Amino acid sequence: MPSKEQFAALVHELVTRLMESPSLEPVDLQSIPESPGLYAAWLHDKQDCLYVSSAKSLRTQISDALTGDRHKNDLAIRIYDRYVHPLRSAQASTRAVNKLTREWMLDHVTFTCVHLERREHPRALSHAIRIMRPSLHHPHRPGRAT
Amino acid sequence: MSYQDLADQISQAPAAGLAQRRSLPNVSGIYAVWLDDKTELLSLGRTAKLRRAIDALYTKPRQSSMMALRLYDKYVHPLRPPQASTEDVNALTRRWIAEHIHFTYVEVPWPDTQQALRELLHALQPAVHAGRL
Repeated sequence: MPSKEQFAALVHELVTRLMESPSLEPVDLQSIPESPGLYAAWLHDKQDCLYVSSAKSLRTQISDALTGDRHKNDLAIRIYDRYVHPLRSAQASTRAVNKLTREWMLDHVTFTCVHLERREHPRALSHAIRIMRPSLHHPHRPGRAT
Repeated sequence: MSYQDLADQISQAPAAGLAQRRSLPNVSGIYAVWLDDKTELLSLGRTAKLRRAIDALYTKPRQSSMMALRLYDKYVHPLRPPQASTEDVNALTRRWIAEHIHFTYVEVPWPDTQQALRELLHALQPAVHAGRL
């Protein structure tokens, strides 16, 4: 078990990697590792950090987000509410709006990720959120996305 | 009981709302989701635990409930302020559902619910069910 100082240094290094690593092209899902870890979603090419979360499988979680299925994915509904909602037609079906959300994400969102054992996720995630200040997180509960 | 009897029963039962959900039995069955006081049948579902399913209908946010998302897209979307946060839109959706959504149900043994739901979907044609988006 690392000491508090060791853990803080480890998290700092992880967050630096999350912020500085080249963003993954979302279409290239095979390049995303299947291991557990933290991931960050960015607007355009790392212009603005939108969202930070943990995943049991980074590839599965990011693939699920990119389906645009707002009823299954917190990132997708937050992107819809912030960016896609003004672009939809009033009469559009749920399926059509999910598709629009997916297309918007593929055009505008990139990801970075770092491997991290699951037992470290809660503490590391709350540190990462505090440092990176993702813009789509709940302002009053910064450690939680929902 | 025939499927026509089930369709009649679920259509003619008095509609219940948010206030009645806690007194529901936790039994298996088919439930119907209605707009306002049964002006339109929106959806049908099957469940092993009725109370839990109805509770989810009134409480789950859009990012974990297909029904809440469909109701948002069809009815709540025009009412939201353009800059509202996800939390605000979820709260607005929850309030709209509490005010406008009612339900009826029939108890059906769990192994029979799949076939019963299929027959009832065919007979009653709900407006926002998965196949009709």
